[in-house]
Parts: sequence; C-alpha cells; structure tokens
Amino acid sequence: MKSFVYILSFLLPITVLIIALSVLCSWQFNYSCSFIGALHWNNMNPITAVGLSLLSLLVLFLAKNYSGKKIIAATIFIAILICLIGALKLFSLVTGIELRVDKWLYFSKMDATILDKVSNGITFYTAFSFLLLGIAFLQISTNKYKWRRLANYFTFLVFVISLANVIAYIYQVEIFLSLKPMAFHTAFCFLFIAIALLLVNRNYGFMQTFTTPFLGSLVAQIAIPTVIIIPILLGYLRLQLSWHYVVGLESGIALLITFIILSFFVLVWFVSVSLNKTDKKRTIAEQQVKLQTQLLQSTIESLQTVLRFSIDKEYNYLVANTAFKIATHAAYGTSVSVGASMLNSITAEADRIRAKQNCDKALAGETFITIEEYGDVNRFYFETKYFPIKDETDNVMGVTVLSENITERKLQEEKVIAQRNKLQLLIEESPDAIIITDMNLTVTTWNKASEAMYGFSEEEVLGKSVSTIVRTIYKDETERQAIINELFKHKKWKGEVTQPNRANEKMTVLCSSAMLFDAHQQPQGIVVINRNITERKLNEEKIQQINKELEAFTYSVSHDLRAPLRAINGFTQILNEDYIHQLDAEAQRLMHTVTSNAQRMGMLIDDLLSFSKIGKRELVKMKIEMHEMVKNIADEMFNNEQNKNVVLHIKPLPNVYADVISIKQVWINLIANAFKYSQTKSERKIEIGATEEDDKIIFYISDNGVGFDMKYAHKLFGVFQRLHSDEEFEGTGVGLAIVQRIITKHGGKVWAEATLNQGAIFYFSLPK
Amino acid sequence: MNTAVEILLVEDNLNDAEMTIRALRKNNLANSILHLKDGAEALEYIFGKEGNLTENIHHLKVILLDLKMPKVDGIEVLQKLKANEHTKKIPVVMLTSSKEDPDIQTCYNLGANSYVVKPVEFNAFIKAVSELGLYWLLLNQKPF
Repeated sequence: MKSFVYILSFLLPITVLIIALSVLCSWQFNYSCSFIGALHWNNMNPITAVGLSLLSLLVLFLAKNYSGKKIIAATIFIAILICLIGALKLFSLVTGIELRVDKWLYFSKMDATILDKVSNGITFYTAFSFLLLGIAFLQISTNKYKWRRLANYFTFLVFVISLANVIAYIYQVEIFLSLKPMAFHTAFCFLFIAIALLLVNRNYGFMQTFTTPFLGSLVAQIAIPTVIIIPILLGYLRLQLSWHYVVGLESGIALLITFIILSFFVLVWFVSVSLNKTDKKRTIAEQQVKLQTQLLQSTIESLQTVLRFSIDKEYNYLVANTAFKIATHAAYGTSVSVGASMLNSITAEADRIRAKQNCDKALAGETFITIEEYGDVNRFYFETKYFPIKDETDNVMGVTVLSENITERKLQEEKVIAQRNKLQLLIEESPDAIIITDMNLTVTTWNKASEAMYGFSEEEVLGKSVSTIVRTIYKDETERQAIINELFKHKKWKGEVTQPNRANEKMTVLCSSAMLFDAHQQPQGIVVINRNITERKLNEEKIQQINKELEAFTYSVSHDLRAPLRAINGFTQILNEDYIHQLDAEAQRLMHTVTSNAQRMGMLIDDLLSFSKIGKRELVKMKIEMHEMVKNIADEMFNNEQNKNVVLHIKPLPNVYADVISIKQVWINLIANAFKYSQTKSERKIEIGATEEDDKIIFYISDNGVGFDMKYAHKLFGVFQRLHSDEEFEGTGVGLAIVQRIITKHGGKVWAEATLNQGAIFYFSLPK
Repeated sequence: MNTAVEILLVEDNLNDAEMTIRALRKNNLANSILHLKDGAEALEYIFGKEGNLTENIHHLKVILLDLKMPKVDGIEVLQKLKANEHTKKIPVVMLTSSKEDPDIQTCYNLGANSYVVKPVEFNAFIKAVSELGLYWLLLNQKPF
C-alpha cells in the first residue's frame, strides 16, 4: 500500500506535467484540437499550464524529499509566484480592474469569445486554487508540524473545488458550465496535484488518519476512492442511460439508488469482514498476550528466592516480583510500584549510587554479574545479574535485574574452604605418611611425613604410579593379590608390610588403606596411611625378650627359693617334734617366729608365681554363667565359721564372654577381700551386682568393712602394695594386682571407691 | 642294706631327701629305701656301669625321682627307664618343686606314673610323702 502511494505521488504530478506541457505545445504550434468532445487543449490558459508545471515540479521535489537550502529557496520563490498569479487574477476578477495576468503569453492567439462556454482565460476557480496551493507550499516549506498540518486543509479545499468541476463536466451541469468553470483538464490537473500533495504530505494533520498501520486507515484507503469513484460512475451511467436510451427520471433514480445501495452494501460488507477478521485476530492476540503476561508473571514470581525487577531508561519500575518488593520494604521501608522510580525506593545513599551505576552500565548494553556484600555484623552476599532489555533494532529500552541472596551458599563455601584447610593441615602435619592415589594408582597427595619416611619429595612423586615409589615387598604374588582382593571387597585393608625407602633400607610399616568414594558412591581413589613401626617393632621384640628373661628369672627364683624354704620349715618342725622338751619358752617362741616367717615367704612366692603366670597365660574366651560362678565362690566362703554372720546379696548378673579361669580368680580375690576386710564389723553386709552400658558391663562388689582412704587409691592395684598391716589383715598384696592384670588383659578396667571405716566398692568392667 | 630295696629315692637336695625319708620312716616304710644323689647314680644303680641290667630292679616297687638334678636330670632318667623293655613297668613318681606345665606334659608323655609337687609347708610335705609311700608300697599292685 505504501509503495502504491509512493508511485501515485510521482505518477500524478508527472501526468499533470505532461498535460501542462501539451497545453503549452498546442499554444506554441497552433494545433489546438479538441481532445474530448468539445474540449480543446487551448481551453487551458498558458499561464495556468506554466503554474501547473511548476506545482507538479514542487510536488515531485517534495515526494523525493529534497531538502537542500537551494531547493527550499526555490520552492518558496515558486510558491510566492503561484500565490501572486492566483491573488492578482482574483483581485482583477473581484475589482474588475484588468491586470492582464492571463494575457502575458500568447495573447495574440487567444480567442476572446467563449468557446463552448469554456474560456481560455484564468477562471476564478483556477486563480483561487493557485492561491490556496501556493500558500500550502509556503506552509510546507516551513517544515513545521502545525504549518504542514494546515497545508493539508488548503490542499483539501483545492481537491473539493477541482472535484466539483470534474463532476460538473461529467454530468454536463448546464448552470455550472455557464458560470465559467475551469477547463476540464485544468480541473483534472488540480485534482491530481491536490491528491499528490495530500499523499506526499500524508504524515501531517488529518492525513495521518489514513496513514496509520491500523485497520481504520486501511479501510479509509480503500473506502475513500470507492466512495468518490462509484457514485460518480453510477451517476454518469444513469445520465448516459437517460440520454441515449430514454430511461425515465424515476426509473433512472431508482436504478441509481439500487446500485448505490448495492455498492455501499458491498463496501460495508467488505469493511465488516475486515473488521471482524482483525477483531478476531486481535482477540486471539489479546488472549495470547494475556497468557504470556500470566506466564511471565508466574515466571517472575516463581523465583521466590530471587529478587527480580525491570526498569526503563528513566529508572522507573516496569515490573517487580513479590520477593523484591518484600526485600525493598525490609531494607529501606519503601514500597515498589510499577511506574515509580527505582532511585526513590532505595533510600540508602551508597546503595542508590551503586544501583544506578550498575543500571547505567547495563543501559549501555552490557550484560554482567556482580557479587555484592551488605551488612556489618551479619554479612549478606547478593549475586546480581544485569541484563539490558533490547527492542527489535537492538536499542536498549531498560534493564532487567535478578538478584539472589547467596549468603547461605557463600557461608557454605567458606565452611567448605575451612573444612578443606583443616583437612589439608591434618594431612600435611600428620606424623604418619598419608598418600592418596586415583583409581589408576597415580599419586595425588603426598604429605610431609611421606617425604620423611620414603625420602621422595612431593614434586618427584606427584603424577607417578604409587607402586614405583612405595615398593611393598610381598612374600609372593598370592599375598599381594590377597591384599588387593581384600581392599576391593571390604573397601579397606590394614596390616603390616615391609617397604624399602629411597636408600633401600627396609622398614616395617603399619599400613591402613581404604577406598575413597565420591558423592555418588563411585570409587575415586585410595587413601593409604602408613606408619613406620620399624623401631617400635624392634622395641617390642626387645621388650618381649626382656619379659621372657624376667619370667624365667621370676620362675627360677621362686622355684629355687622353695627348696631352702621347705628345709627351714621342715627342720624347724623336726626340731619342734624331737627336741621340744629341751627348749624353754623363749626358744620356742623364737622357733615359732622362724616357722611363721618361712610360711609367709612361701605364700609370697606362690602368689608371685601365680601373678607372673597370668601374664603368660593365653585367654580362652567362652560364655560364663556369671551368677552361678559368683554364687559358688561365695558359698565356699560361708564354709568358714567366721563368715557365718555375713549378709550377702547377689543381684542378677549378666553372662559374659571371657576366660573362665581368670574371671573366677578375679571373683575369688574380690569376694575374699570383701569378707576379709569386713571381719571387724558386727553387721557385715556384702552386695554384688552389675550395670550394663552400651559397650560394656560393669560389675561391682560392695562391703561395709574398714574401707580405705581414697588418697591411697592409686596404690591399691600395685604388686605387694598394701593399705593395711599384716597384723590387722593377712595378705601379700598380690590379689588386686592379679585382678587388675586379668581385667586389663580382657580389655576392661578396674577401680574402687571407699570411705574409711564405712566400706568399699570395687568395680570392674568387661567389654560386651 | 639288709633288705631288698623297694623304694628308690633319687634326690640331689639332701634336706628334701632327709625329710622324705623321715616321712617314710614315720610310716615304717623306711627300711627298704635307697637314696641316690643324682641321675647318674640312679642309672648306674639300675643299668650298672656297663649298661647291663642289675638285679636291683626286681624288688623295686616305686622310684621317687626328682626333676632337677646335677649331671643327669630326672627327665633323662625317666626317658631311659621307660625306653627299656625291662624297666618300663617300674612305677616312677616325679617329685618336683615345679608346677610348670611343660614339665608335667613331658613327664607324662615319657610315661611317668605320677607327678607330685613338693609342698613348701612341712606338714603338707610329710603328709604327701607318707601317702605316696603307703599307696605305692601297700596299695598299688605291681605289674610284675
């Protein structure tokens, strides 16, 4: 449509130019012939032809959009000239003073008589049209909207005048023709010029109505020519019918009205169809827009943790989600509404400046992400993304901002970093060699201890296969395979291996290896923690050797001591049996002292022997009926006449899994102690019981005997350590040492609580 | 040595020997006892100097053999006795101060008939020896 208008705005003035030049030619070469009916070329005044030529040139300039200073100056000059022609002729027509404006050219050839009622002088209509068009061009040449707008009304007036002239010619209106109208082709030329000028000047005034891309303009573009042309044509047809075929006035009008109704009906139908179509499209489009708006809104709102808003170039809000509104209200106490300025909603000076700077950056076309930090005590981190909003031609229209509170993520990251640092420190400062490999056994971590232990630096080792550095010496291939199988089956392996260091010195190494898994339980590598226990091993061997020697010594001492002791014992006894009558009381007392000391020494040796034996004995663990065992031992105690007055209470005791012989020894010693140290009390109470904990069982035996001072508690379990004299209570001080040794061997603990002269409680624990 | 030797006591410790003999005497079992001071003497008494069996073995009802002795120890004597077809049926009671396991096991493996740990306490010692003497001399039926 636009291109059609464009072509028309050239075609019409060129047509006018051709007609006008033809008229001038006919004046010049005297061939004034009639071209339609009675119309002659020479009906147009030569000055009119010149004026029309100039007007058509001006229209062409305008259509071509020439805007050079010279062109404008020329336009103004021509427009003034045209105005003058029109104005002067009008003046002479009104006042009757002949100014001979239309008689400057070819005056000699002019026919003074009115030729077929059409004069070849400039008529009133022509002069008026020149004046109007001249003014219109002057207005247009100002290139100001309000003037160019006004120009259209002047032009439209010319359009109406020329159209009326054309119609009058077509309908052969007698009265009109007698009023000296424009020449027929002059009328057409003015019509064309007026139409062309309206088209060229279409972006101003009422012409804008026809040039919008909307449906109204489209309808107007089609309807206006139709409305003009159809009635004219139909009217002409009707007249032709009545002239040539003698159609009566009534039937002529009836036909005319019918056809006009029909054509307007078609026009209205066309307009309705177009409107319906467009309206339908618009309704669908509106629905789509509504849907898209809703989708957009839900998208915006769905980011509940993300603050989102958009602003235009003037920093006014285009949209903002609830999260942003809440956050802004919380931070600045202001509310956010569409159309309001972002700068007003941020009340903190520094924040506003920063927001503005970032928005300006985005308005300059840049997309970027910033991490901003707020708060003094509680730090908040925001990750903010700025996107420029662009139209189809890539002009930035505004900015969309997405801001996410990443404080938690940031803190998590910081935590992870702290965790990693801690782990790194642990690995680096560990006294054990820590080596981590990937699944190809390539070393990825090699700590300081590894360096010290194997003699290879981290740089030398990283990226190399661990087996070339840590060269474990296996007995055979089977052993190596067994370790690998175990590692893959149970995800870890622990054991002692022999490995040489860089200097090929063999080391005994306690090795703990475990598979390393990622978050998806996929094996990632192997962590190896190696401890050089070469020295410990040597020490252990030494200690074992020393222990053996000590045991042999203890054994032989106690063994070899028994014989002379037996002799002392025996011969004193013999002396007593055979020579008692020859000894006085004092000699007998002395002899008795010798015997009792010898006996005591025998006990000491026996206890020492059994104590040293415990160390050597291998524990044979089996289920022990604890309650049964304790009851039997206690029952035996009651065989002694002295113990008849003891009130013994044995609470239910859980069964344990331990070495029967040694546990029995523990109970014998503890129960015997309880009986022994409560002897002096008149009411003797002993209680035995147990409490269960998660991983162990604690047994206890309490008595109300003499007890002991807690400040000596640490001496209780030492060998030959006693808290009472022999005169008070007999004993060698080995019993509790044996108890401790047995319980420790079982992996348990033994301890005691007591109050002097109130009683004591002995506890021992055994692992479950 | 008027009567035939029924109890052979092999003991390097004279004190122990004296006490043993005293205990047996109390039970009137001391007449037929012979005390030898070490394993070498015991072997000579039984197997003679050239290794030929002596007549002495025919009357022996029990040999009380100390474990730890100079020259030839109790275990060696026991081994030789139990290895010989003619002497292996003679009851041998090991007398010792040791309660140690390996000794007991070794002795029983070699065929010792009994293993007695000498009590340190005199009365217990006397009682033990007396019971031994009574058992082996009076109660036990000789295999030959």
